[in-house]
Amino acid sequence: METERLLERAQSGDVSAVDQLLRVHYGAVHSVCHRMLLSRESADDAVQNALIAIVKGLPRFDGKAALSTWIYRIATNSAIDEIRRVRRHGGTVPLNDTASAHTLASEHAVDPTALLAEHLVDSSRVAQALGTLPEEFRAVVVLRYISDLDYADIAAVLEVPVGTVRSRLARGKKLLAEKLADPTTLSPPDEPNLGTPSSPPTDSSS
Amino acid sequence: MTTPSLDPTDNGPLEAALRHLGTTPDPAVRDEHIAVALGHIASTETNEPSNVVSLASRRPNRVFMALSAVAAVGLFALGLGLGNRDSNSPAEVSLVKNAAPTETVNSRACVNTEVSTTDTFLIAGSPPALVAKEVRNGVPTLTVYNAITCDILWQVPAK
Repeated sequence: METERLLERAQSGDVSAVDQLLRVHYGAVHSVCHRMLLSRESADDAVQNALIAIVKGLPRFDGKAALSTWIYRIATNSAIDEIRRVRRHGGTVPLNDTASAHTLASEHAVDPTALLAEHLVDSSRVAQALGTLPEEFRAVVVLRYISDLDYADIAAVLEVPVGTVRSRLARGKKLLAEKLADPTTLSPPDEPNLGTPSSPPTDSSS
Repeated sequence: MTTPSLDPTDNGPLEAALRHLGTTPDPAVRDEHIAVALGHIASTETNEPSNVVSLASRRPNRVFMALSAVAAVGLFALGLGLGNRDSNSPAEVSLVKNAAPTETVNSRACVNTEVSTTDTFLIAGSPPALVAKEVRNGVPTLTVYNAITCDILWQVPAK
């Protein structure tokens, strides 16, 4: 009820309500953009663009989807737009966790099953591997495990069937596991990795 | 090489590691981002449609392409109809070519252009065109964009 009133005020142009609403959802937008993009600067650009899109779109938000779903959709699209923009312009993408990335790249390969089984997966390494996934898979993995959305919500955010979410998640995790198993696939800090140019995923379940 | 097993319960080590990748926003950056976004309230064009997404993130699917063909034929027929109409008769629908809006739409803005997902058609061609049903200044409008540059090619009032 409180949220509905806040939304109504925000939609009518009440600046303080819009401010409050953006603060409530800022964390969600931030986590999606910062885990979808390897570069902090690019992620911040994506966050900024998402917030502007939210402000501009609020007066016409029709409530057909939940507000959070709508915001996640904008954040995800903004991150994907930024990934494509960076790739188009061939810009450099410094890594977030350069120190650990360097260490990881120089590490000897260790049996990934043992690592994972012992919960010794280095989070910075996982973040780096995540940043190299094709964006379709990256988005699903981020929304599922970082934003903690269920399959139905992810399907609503991405406007794809739940079956597609499941298949993309399975393939995304498989790719991640393979990348984590092979340290040579992760770039050292001076070699930007923009992720794999994605071809449209072939979803078996859609 | 052994591929790490993927826990069917969704709670394996990889999933656990991913769940620990949450981010902590910098309060100063957050405030700056919000301040910039709030600055766009005044410049918000209030007639844009809801259910918005970025054009750049949309990729045409089969339904999209099928509708494109229908839209292309419709526009073609509309153009023929206007061309053949008696010049003295009152115009029911005005076809305006190169009627750019007050704001210049450049390619960067194109990325952030927001249109309805349900009333948008992409027409394959050279250049490809994007047809969007929008409301501009309170008037339902069918706008045809150059899908590459986002320049507005045509605008016709929609019934």
